[in-house]
Amino acid sequence: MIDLLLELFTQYGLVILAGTIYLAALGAPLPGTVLLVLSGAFAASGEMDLVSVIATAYFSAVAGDITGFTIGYKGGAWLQKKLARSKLGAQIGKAEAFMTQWGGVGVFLSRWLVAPIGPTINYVAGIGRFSWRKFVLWDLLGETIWVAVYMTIGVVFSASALALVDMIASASWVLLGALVMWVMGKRLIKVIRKARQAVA
Amino acid sequence: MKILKYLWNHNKFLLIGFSIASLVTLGFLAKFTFSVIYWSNNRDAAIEPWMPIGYIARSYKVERDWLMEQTGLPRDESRVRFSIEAAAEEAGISYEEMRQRLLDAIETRRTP
Repeated sequence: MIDLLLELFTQYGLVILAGTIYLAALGAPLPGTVLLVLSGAFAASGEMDLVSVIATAYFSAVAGDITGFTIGYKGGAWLQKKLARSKLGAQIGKAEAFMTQWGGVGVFLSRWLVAPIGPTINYVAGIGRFSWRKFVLWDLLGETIWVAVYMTIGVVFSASALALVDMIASASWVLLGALVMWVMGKRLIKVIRKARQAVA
Repeated sequence: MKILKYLWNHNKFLLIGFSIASLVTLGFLAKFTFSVIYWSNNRDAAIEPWMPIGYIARSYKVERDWLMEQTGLPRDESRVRFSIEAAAEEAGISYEEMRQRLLDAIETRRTP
């Protein structure tokens, strides 16, 4: 699958880069970051034009994020109407509360630091009726870092950059896992304290 | 042990969730550690059929035009992202043969 995509990318360049990044932003299991790094490496070896690559990657990522947000926004309103009194309706309320508390920072960090949750955050931001302007602003900032960091890795490390991307992806998952463990751990400690009292 | 039993009876999902998160995080930490070790020892990328000649040239630190000449094909400046597989096809040889041809050429270039 990945070999076929890389073949298509070598053959068609920017079109495949744009499509992959756009669909990955919507949650499709496609290696947008890998192609971005490769584009950097290709630009460094004279196989692609650096400015076109940067512009394509940036606009496709932002377009994908905004599409995800819009789907969440429209779909969320429709869902809320349908499920006003059910448990799921309450979950939508929770999404709104989450976005009010973490909104901007969450959008910004999920573009590049904890990228695996990026697509989910797009939908949640829309469902949570986060401000469109703020979403776009944080998204533009976050994607700037994403494009800048991975393009630089591609240009500097060239052929050995792909292994580096694999490393960064694992680090990103470790960070995300640690975050989940921290949130759950805090609750677990509270419960253990309660349990100690109950057992004693 | 008593606490674990209490947790299991009262907060099953939290306990399971925390255990899964810990296992997954540890798994990725191990993967990360292995890839760091691997990366620090293997910097020359393996050649793959989709790789353009220019990309391979940069990876092996030889000039792009020179490597292009080694394919045995006529010089054509308009070629963009000309993959090793496409080069093999055009030269009428197998991908493996083309790969070996380029690797041999790179080897002679590298040896003084």
